[in-house]
Order: sequence, then structure tokens, then C-alpha cells
Amino acid sequence: MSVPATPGRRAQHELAGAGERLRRLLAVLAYLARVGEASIAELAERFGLDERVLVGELELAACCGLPPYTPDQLLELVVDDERVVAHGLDVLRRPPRLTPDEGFAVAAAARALLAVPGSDPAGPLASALAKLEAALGEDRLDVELDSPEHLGALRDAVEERALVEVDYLGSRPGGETTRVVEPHRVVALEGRFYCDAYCHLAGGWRRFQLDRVEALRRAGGTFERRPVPPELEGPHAFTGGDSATLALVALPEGRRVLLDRVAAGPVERSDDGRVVVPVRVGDEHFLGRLLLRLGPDAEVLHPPSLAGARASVAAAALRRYGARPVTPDR
Amino acid sequence: MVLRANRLERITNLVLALLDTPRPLSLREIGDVVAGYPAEQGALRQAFERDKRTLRDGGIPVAVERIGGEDQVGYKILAEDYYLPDLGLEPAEEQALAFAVAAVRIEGDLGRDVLAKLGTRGPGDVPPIAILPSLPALGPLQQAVRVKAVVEFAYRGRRRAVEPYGLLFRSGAWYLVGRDRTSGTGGELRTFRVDRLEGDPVPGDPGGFVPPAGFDVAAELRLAPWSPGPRAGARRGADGTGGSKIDRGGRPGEVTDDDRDVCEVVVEVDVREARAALALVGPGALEARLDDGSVRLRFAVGDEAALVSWVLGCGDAVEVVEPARIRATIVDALARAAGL
Repeated sequence: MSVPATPGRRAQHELAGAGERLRRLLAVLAYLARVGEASIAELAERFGLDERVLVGELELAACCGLPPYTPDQLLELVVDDERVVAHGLDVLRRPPRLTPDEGFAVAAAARALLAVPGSDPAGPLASALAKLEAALGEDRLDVELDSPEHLGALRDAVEERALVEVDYLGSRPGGETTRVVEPHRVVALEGRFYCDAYCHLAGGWRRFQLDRVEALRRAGGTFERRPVPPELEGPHAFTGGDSATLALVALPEGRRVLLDRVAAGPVERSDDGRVVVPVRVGDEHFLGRLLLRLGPDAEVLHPPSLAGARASVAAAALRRYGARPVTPDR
Repeated sequence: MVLRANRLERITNLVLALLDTPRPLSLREIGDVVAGYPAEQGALRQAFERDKRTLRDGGIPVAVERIGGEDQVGYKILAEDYYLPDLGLEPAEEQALAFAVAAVRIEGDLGRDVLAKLGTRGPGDVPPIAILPSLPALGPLQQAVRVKAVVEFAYRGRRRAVEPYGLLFRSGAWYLVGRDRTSGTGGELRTFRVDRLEGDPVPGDPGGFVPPAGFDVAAELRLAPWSPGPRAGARRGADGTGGSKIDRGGRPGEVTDDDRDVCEVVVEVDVREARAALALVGPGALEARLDDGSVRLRFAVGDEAALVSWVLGCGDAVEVVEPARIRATIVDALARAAGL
């Protein structure tokens, strides 16, 4: 048996999605071969395609077939404004194999959902996964999500649109607050659970880290859904405190990789050859910790109000060390 | 390069012909019978090779077989390479998969294509429960794990040949655990952060290795960047003779980070970072859990610079208790940063 090669995404990109487009067309044809007839709107939704693009591809495929391309050997696709009727696609009746990327995507989604506390380890999802493994090979893939204490209660509150009061540990020492919030959704980002909520104390949207929720109580009453603001979309959304500021951090080119995951916009180059990375920061404490980690070569160019972030966090940490005499090595 | 309409048509015709044919077709036959190919031999070969690459990129391998005679080789798409085996999913299982794909967002949204292939309708608009980062290397690595193919890639500036044992998402990042054949004398168990792979992984033939029975990826993952290599403590070769240095891409005999001294470190982590720190060093490092939610951790460190960087980045949430030398390094760096 020959081996399916698995080129990187870059190679696929250079082919401008040729393989991708073919794969999609064959999946559409396989589906049509099974169902015989479908509405254009349903097909477009099912395959995530624009209706015009879909009709274009189908009209193209209607001229395809097997040698010698006599009428009985052509794919018979009749496309009108609303529906497509298919005959003679026997060779395509069974769906094509999953590509490596698809096999990964479905296994990762299923494993992640099974990792959410409260999921059924012996339910239909687990048995579906076992059948996929039987067909594709053992996936040996796992997803670990954290399981904060109040996850279940908070998810119930989201479902019921119930106002809750939380005791929340901030990122700063002594930053504990009690606030009434409208929990709109609970989602695991990079393995940690967060709650996006409209906070009555702050009078605005906040993203709360669930493992910093000390206690949670129903506050009584429900809330109306509000649109979640765009800055809370996406896996790298800002997660910090009172106000989101865009800071410009300069650091040597060689250390740029340390900020790749938090960069909030295009990276530029400063006159002295360093790179300048925009980073969204919640508060001085967050930025100070980041700068300490980056080392003495990193520097805040903007805003001037945050220039002292590193020094103030360092001073706070030093106080902690001052509280304990240095112990001799054993 | 834009895929022209008539080329998509030609490739579709090629797929149909190569799937349907009972025997491998020679290039000459393909040119003669499949609609859309140029007549001239050189142009024909060029067009066919391009189409074959496109098919491979779409996950459809073209098998090459010896057929003898003037043409020597013929081409065919094998049914087992092309068709998805019947999974025999029950309706409830299809629905569960569809819900998982909708509720767990993975960059690239390929799960949706899987549902389309299975002929399953998605559950509509489901709020996300988890959002996972994706990386181009994950699909190929996962495939290599499934079919037990050795993969080659560059990591930390050196080319590796790795037997991939499994993938794990932990603490916000994807990791590959496997035996690096190019490390040590008999190969070493290694953890690779997938977003740090340099270039695309290149898989070898399926069945290239046998994974150890009962291998537990989660238990073998070495997450903390300061973790000592598996041999660093014991200073023994995999064959038991001991003494040889591990090559980490440097010149022979060069002292590499695996060869540094290993020391034991005790840190105290307050409640803000306790969970994240435990995830880094593993539950075995937990020495005490204090009333205020903070934890005391004891673990081995092979790369001190990595540890120092992590401790500094935790601000006042983490304190190194032992050894005094590292404690002093931290205090020194903090004093400089504080402008003292």
C-alpha cells in the first residue's frame, strides 16, 4: 500500500487550496451520491460554502466522468436554482477518507469535550471515538483541561441567566473583591476555564479566571443577554484587570518568540534593531511580571505611565524574600 | 497559482478514472483516455505530476505499480486508500461527534469537513466550551502516531528522527512525546513542544516502530522547561555502559544542557499560581499544601536559567526557598530590576 504523504500547510498554501478544493468537491459529490437529491441551501450550509461557489463547482463536475465520456459515463448532475439532482455517481458513493488534519481535528474535539468535568466517559462520544480509532488507528491523543471548583455551578448560572456574586482573587496580592456579575459564557482557553461576564462592580465586561473564584453564590434574579464585545473573542483575548491598555514592548530580535503568543498587532522594528511588540495589558502588575520574565533587555516604550511596572513588581517580590532569612544549603 | 476551472475538472476526471480502473494505467493511457491532458509527452508528464501532487495534498495517494512493457509503471488509486472505512456509528454517536466538533473550536474548523464526509448534520449554533489552538504540524504528527511512522523534524537547531508515541494538550500547549532515535546511544524519551518544531515534520513509512506497551503519554510528559533529561541524574547510557555524552546538535563532546548538574529546588507558590505551578512540575512535587491555598513544591532542575526566568515571571507569587544559591540569583535579579 502506498503512503499518504502529509505536506505542511505551507505547501498546500502555495497550491492555492487546489487539494483543498478537490477534497471538498469530492466530499460534496459523495454526499450527493448517497442522498440523490438536495437543496442548494442545505448543501451550502452543510459544507460551509457560498451558494454561488457551490453551484459553480457542481456545474464543473457535471462535465466529469469516466472514459470514454459517453453520456452514460458522465456524472449526471442537474442543477437548477434551488436543487441539485444526482445520478450515476456510484464510484463516489462511499465518502473519502479523512485527511490527517481532519483526523486530528475530530479526535482533538472529542478528547477535549471528554476532558470537560462532568462529561460521560462511557457515553456515545466515547464509543464514537473508539470506532474512529478502530478505523484510523489508535489516536494516542489527550487533552487536559483544568477542573476549577465552581465550573458546574457557573455553567448552570450561564444556562439559567442567573445573576451570581463571586469572591474573586485578583492577580495582585490583596486584590480580593466581591462582585455581582452576569455570566454570559464559560469557555476553556489554552486549557484554563474563564468566564466572560458583565460585571456590575466594574460597570463593564470582564474575563474571570475560574480557578481564582474563591466562592460563588446566586445573587437572586436573572439578566438579559448582551452582545459579547469583540475584544473578548478569540483564544488570546486579554484576560486582565481594570482597563485594557496597549503597551509597546521592545526586546532583542532573538527573544521575540517569547511574545509571539501575546502579540496584539503587527510587530515593528525600532531604530536600534530591536523588535517592538504591541501587548494588551490589564494592569501594571501583569506587565511587570511579563517584563521580569523577558529579562533586562526588554523595555516598555509606551505608555510612559507603565514604565515603572517592572520595578514595582520586583520591589513587591523582594519584600517577600526579605521576610525570610536565607537558609543555608543542606 | 490559481486552480483553473478546467484543471479541477481534469483532476476530478483523473480521480474517477484511477479509482474505477481494474488495473494500473500507464501515463500514456492516462493521456489517451482521461479528458483534459495535453497530447505532447513532456507536457503530459508535467501536468500529470502536478495533478498527482495536488491529489496527495488533498489526502489521496496515487499508487505506483510495476506493469512491465514499454511504460514500466502504472498508476491507480486503491480503494482502501481512498474510501473511508465504514465506521458503523449509531445515530447517538454521530450526534455526539457533531456536538463535540461544534462545541470545541479548533483553529481551522476542519471538524466540520469531517461531519460533511460522514454525512452528519451539525447541531447548529452551539456556544464554545473550549477553544484549542491548532498548528499545521499537528495533523501530520497525529497521522504518524496512528500509523506508527517515524517522523523527522528539526528541533532546537538539530535534525531529529522520532518515534511518536502520543500527543497531549497540557497547560495551554501541544506536546509530542516520543523516542528520539538521534539522542543518546539507544535513543531517548523526549518531550517536544509542537509550536517549537522548526519546519514541517516529515513522516516515514507506516509501521516504522512498535510503541512500548501501556505507554502513558501524560505520565511521561516532561513539561517544565528546566526538567533534567532522563539520563542527566543517572549518568548512564541506555545500554547500561554509561558515561557517554548526549549529542544535542552540538559538536561531539560538547557539554550540552542535558549534561549540566541537576539540583533539587524547593519553592513556595501562593494561591494565584499554585494550580499552574503544579501542572508544570507534576503532582509528585507537592510537599505541602498550606491553609492560605499556597503550596510548597520540591523538584529537580536541570536548566537553572529556565527556572529563574519562570520564577521571575511569577512576580511575588513564587519564592525560591532552596537552594540558597538560586535564591540569591533571584534576589539579585529582582534588586537590579527594582533599581536598588
